[in-house]
Amino acid sequence: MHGQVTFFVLAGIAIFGAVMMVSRHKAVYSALYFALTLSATAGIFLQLRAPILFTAQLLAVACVLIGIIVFAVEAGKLDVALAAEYSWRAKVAGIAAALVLALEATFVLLQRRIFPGEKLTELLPRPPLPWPLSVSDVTVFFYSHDLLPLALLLFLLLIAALGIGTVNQRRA
Amino acid sequence: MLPVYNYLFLSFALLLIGVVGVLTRRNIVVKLFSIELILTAVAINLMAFARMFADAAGQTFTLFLIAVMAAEILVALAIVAAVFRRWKTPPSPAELPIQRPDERVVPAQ
Repeated sequence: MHGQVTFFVLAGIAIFGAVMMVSRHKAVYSALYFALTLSATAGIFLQLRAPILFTAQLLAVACVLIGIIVFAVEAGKLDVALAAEYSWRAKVAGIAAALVLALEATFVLLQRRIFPGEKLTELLPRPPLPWPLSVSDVTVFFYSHDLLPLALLLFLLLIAALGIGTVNQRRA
Repeated sequence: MLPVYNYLFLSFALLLIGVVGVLTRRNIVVKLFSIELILTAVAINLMAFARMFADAAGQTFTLFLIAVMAAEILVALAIVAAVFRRWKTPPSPAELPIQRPDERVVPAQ
């Protein structure tokens, strides 16, 4: 009961922060509400018994990163909007995407009601990692079972690094 | 642990708000935050299923996801700052210099 109340309070704070983040006009206020959302999410991580991730999310992202962003946005005057002719198509696309996602969720919920015996574990043939996690387990996990997502992730980071280098070189 | 659909509903709500934010807001920084919100929704999903199946793989992926979030937001902010300095105001898509195959850019002397 106590955990349920905690979860609903944290979830309410997270959704409230997200809605306020999207609806604010100044980017600094959006950053502060985003920090609120991330803090509530960190609380949910703690409730799911992941204290390391709670600490990482709360300290690294919610405090340090948002502090840097607020400073950068204010100091660099980055609180700017894109061109005006871009807006109406984007709004139509956003509403359409939201409708599609809502329909998808409704379909999934209805499907669960129609086929209640189906289990999501059938989609996960990989044997689970042992619960108290060790460094060797993580290493074996990444380099034996799931090398492809890790390789994709590192490839995307490489592209991002090359992109920022190219932009800075052109500017110079 | 609460039933997993509670976490899924929360994740779905954050995903929906993030998608709406990306596609409807014109502010670049808010768009960036909305993308981070989508990643946060993914992290909640991973954590919920990790707890449900008592499998630490979800936690490991979430740790990577947090690292990617931090790196991505800083890199994207740096790109925004570089573009903003180059054009003074953010360019519309029509103003971006797209090089056609029959055009050659002559370097400035």
